[in-house]
Amino acid sequence: MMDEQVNFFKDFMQMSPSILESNLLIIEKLANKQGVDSKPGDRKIFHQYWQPFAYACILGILERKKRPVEPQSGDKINSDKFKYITMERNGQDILNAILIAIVGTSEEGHLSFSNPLKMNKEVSAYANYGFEILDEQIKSGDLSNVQDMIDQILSR
Amino acid sequence: MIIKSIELKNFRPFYDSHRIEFSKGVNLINAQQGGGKTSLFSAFYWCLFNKIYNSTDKEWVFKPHFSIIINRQAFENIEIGSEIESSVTLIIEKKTPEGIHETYTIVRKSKGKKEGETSVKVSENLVVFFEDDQGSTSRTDDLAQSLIDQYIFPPALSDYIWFQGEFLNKLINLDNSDSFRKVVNTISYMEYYDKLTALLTGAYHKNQREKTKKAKLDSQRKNEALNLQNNIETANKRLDQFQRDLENEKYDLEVNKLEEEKLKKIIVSSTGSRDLIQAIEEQNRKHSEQIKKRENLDYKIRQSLGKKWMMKGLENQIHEGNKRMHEFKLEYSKAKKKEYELPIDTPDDNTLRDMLKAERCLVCGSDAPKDSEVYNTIREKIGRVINSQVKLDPEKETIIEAIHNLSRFHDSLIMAINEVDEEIDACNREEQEIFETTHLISAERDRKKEEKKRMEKELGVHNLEDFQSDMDKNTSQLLSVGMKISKANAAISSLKEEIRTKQNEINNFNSKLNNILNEGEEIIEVKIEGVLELLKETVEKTKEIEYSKLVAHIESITNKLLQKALERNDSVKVRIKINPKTNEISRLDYQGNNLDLELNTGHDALINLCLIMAIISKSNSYSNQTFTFLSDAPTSSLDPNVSLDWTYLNHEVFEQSIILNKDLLNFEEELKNSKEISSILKLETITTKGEDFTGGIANQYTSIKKIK
Repeated sequence: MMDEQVNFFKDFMQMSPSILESNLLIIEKLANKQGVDSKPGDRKIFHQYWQPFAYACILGILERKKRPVEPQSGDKINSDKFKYITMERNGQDILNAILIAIVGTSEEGHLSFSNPLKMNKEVSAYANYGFEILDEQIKSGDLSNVQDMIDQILSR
Repeated sequence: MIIKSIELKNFRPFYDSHRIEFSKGVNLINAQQGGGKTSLFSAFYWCLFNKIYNSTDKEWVFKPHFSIIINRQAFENIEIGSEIESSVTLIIEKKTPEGIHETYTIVRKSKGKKEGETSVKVSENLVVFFEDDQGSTSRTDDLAQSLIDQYIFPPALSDYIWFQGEFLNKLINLDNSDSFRKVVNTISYMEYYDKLTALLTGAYHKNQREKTKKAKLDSQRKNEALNLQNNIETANKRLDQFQRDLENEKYDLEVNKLEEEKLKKIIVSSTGSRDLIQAIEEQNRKHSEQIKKRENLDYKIRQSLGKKWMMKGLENQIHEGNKRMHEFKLEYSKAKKKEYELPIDTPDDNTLRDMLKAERCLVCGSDAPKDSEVYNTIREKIGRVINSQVKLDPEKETIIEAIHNLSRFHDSLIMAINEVDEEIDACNREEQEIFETTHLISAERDRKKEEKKRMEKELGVHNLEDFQSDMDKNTSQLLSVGMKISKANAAISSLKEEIRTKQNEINNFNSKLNNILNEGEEIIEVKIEGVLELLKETVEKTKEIEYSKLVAHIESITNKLLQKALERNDSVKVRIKINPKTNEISRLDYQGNNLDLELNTGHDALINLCLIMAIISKSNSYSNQTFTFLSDAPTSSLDPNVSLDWTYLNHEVFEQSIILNKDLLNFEEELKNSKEISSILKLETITTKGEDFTGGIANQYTSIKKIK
């Protein structure tokens, strides 16, 4: 139990998701350089770094599976790639949808809101599982372009 | 010329009328000194020449006053206020060269009026009466005088044929060669040579002037001709230049016309190339447009994908999440109400607001008009749950706050997710459309490119764009050539005009030049000049010869006269020798010795007399005209015998002579009996008031007595 009330969103937005270094590679494959505005004609699927993370999170949520982000041998945890505030500014709907979907999916449910750290863990965990899916898809060639992703989306 | 008579009326010493008849031969008029000889002599002069001789002053008086003319006695006899006339009438007979006898009656009158002791001239006139083939005719005053001067008796001649004895030495100065020459020239036919020479000289000078004038004109004409020739040359050069320019322009025109034709052919044959290139460019543009669209669509898709589409599939989870959040909200609300001591069924804020709006309590159903107690109670309840200061545990508060923030997004998220399919479809459709359009465009473009290749092959060009670029150049060049052609045509017209003008100019110059060349007269004046010079030379030569002859004759005649005059005289026998070139007169004896120092004035006087007679005789013989010889006391300085013999000589020389003499009074008888003397008159002075009266001329007059 918390000793005092916290402003969930105020604290949460300043947090960064935890991402394994190996998953950053996936992000790199799927999105343009971090912080750089995309332009028409860009060849990556996503324009911003947070987007593959959000997609991975959504994949995890859809599968209802998560894998906590824990350091592994040869694979560190990166916790400052981007902040949730970036997600909130550039894709508020996506973030809100992820947060609400996590409330609806995880065992913690609404309790995830009790602590921003908790929610961060949830989000990161779901995304961690989603990266596995993405990795497979990339390796298998099922996700090589935008159309592949659209097809996946349409198939849901 | 023969003086038939003279009639004097109240003329000087001659009171009333006196008429003297003269005959051929020698008419001698003797008178004592002061007997009226000079007045009678003057009568001849006054009648013909309006002058009288003043023996006192020894000079001629021209146009003498009436008071000098009128006879004093006659004047004395008239009353004051009366008029009186003085006149002299000469009757002269002339024979023309054709032998026709003419008679002239010359009357000069002078009328005056007596005013006290003086007189005033009233009138003076001169009349010449004569007969010709038109009958009797007269001339008066100036015309009469002209007739006398030019025909009857030239005044210049009168100086030598009618002379005063006192002036004898002045007529010919034996020591002055010029005076002899002058006399000869005046009264001999030499004057005609001089006149002829003067005429010829005048003609020569005139010719020279004409020649100079012509030379000046010729020079002007030459200069003019030269200028014209220069102008013609310059104009011809200019004309040649114009013609060369014209040829050049024509050549350029032909070249440009060929170029124009060629360009037109090319342009015509390439009509479609521009359209084709434009069509290809249009297709390219459209293709690029489609690509741009495709890229934009792709971007849009990625944007949508990253911001919205990836949410698709999360509906259930979102619903579930929303449900759980709602459940917690209810739970929290209950807990809060409990804490806040509100009934459990206290409506939420939204419901409370609805009640306020409706002004009715939905719980109890009572009305709640504004500002009523029920209304205020309802209003108080709003926000009490949320705004209540009562806090549940911090965790719950944190959760509820987060939920409050998120729960309002539920509907919009679901709506957004529901739109994804539609949006994806729309993008797909758009993509398809772009694809199809691009495909069509590409196909069309390919067709056009094929067509372009064919055209390039047809035109034989490597690249239709270059060809078209050249075509643009060609079109521009065609315009340029067109302008050149226009300019060339204009230049040709202008040059033709210039040529025409220049040709006209040249023609004008040539015409002027021809006129000038044709104007040049045959140089007759050169021939005239030659003739004139020859004539002048001939005349001068002839004159020289004639003069020599004349001088020889004069010399001969003079010597004969001298010999005869000195025959009965024991004085020095003298003869003269005249040098025709120098006109010097040498006085020699018969042996040829110079006698200049041995002779006296009488000898000179005789020589002068004989010389003049000789000169006059030659004049008379040449012109076939004789003039009456008139002299007043010519022999005053001669020995009486010589004077007598000289008087006889007049008979041989002159057809008529009138000699007024005072030296021969003692030879009256001899003279009466001599056949050489035709008439003898004697002038006597008559004194009206006795011989001892010395009242003056008025009491004297001259009478004329005929002796023979």
